Amino acid sequence: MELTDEQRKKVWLVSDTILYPEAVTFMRKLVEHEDVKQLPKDAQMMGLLNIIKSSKYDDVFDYINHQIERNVDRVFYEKLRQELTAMQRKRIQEEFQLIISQPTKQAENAEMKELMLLLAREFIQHIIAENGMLQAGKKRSESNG
Amino acid sequence: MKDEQDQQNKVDEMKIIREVNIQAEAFYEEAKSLGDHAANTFGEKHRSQITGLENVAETALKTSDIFDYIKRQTARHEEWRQGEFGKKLIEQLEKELDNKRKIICAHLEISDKTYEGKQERRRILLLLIRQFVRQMTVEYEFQVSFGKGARRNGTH
Repeated sequence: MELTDEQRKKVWLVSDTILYPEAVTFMRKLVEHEDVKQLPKDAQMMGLLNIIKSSKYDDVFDYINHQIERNVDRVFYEKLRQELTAMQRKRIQEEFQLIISQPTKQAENAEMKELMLLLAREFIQHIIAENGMLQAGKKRSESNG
Repeated sequence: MKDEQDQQNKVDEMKIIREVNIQAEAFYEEAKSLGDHAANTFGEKHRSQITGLENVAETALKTSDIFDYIKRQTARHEEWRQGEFGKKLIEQLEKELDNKRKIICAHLEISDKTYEGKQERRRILLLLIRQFVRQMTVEYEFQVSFGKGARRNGTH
């Protein structure tokens, strides 16, 4: 399913104006969560980045579920799943207005998955960058005693 | 009719460029200060860090691509953390330039309510970031070639 240039431009706008500030807030809230002892490690973030760059949206979602089942950074992945689910169920259509009507149900589904992959990619990349920044701040405050 | 529209688009674009240049004059001192900071921290040895940033700023399609890049570099490299260079740079780009963008958009009456207006506002922030990074890079290059950084790094 090929997205239109206009849809891609809309995704850029959504990414800059909505997903980026939300990803920053997402990570800062995670730090304050009572059940979170430490931020996700670099290796964990790189694994997620590889998945999001090379997989289909269903595989990304399966990966997140799998990490929750394995109890790896459980709160982080649960919150991420919540965000992506809300995006897919409601926001993609009502708030972001990214959906173009398609001739068949199958085409509609394919369009949704393609858009969700793009949005998830944007959101997760912002999360990973903010995680790195927070880790860097932590390193700095530890080295300053 | 089409010629008239093209002409109007050109005039609008010139107005934006003019406003961006006016604001660039206003943030020159901040860009220079961060350029000096970069020269002291990165020196000649880590020039690729600054040229890499300039390259990302010039080619990025989204402002968040530039912010993410700065955060990743800050996480990976000690030099970006020294004297809080990465943190100061991102604060400058995210907050101060956003204020400059608001001034420009108010002046040119670019709405934040319409889809076209939102896209234009996004593009103006990208133009401001590019100007800032260019100014910072020029100062960095000057300092590592002729300033204190050059002497400290043994290039002169």
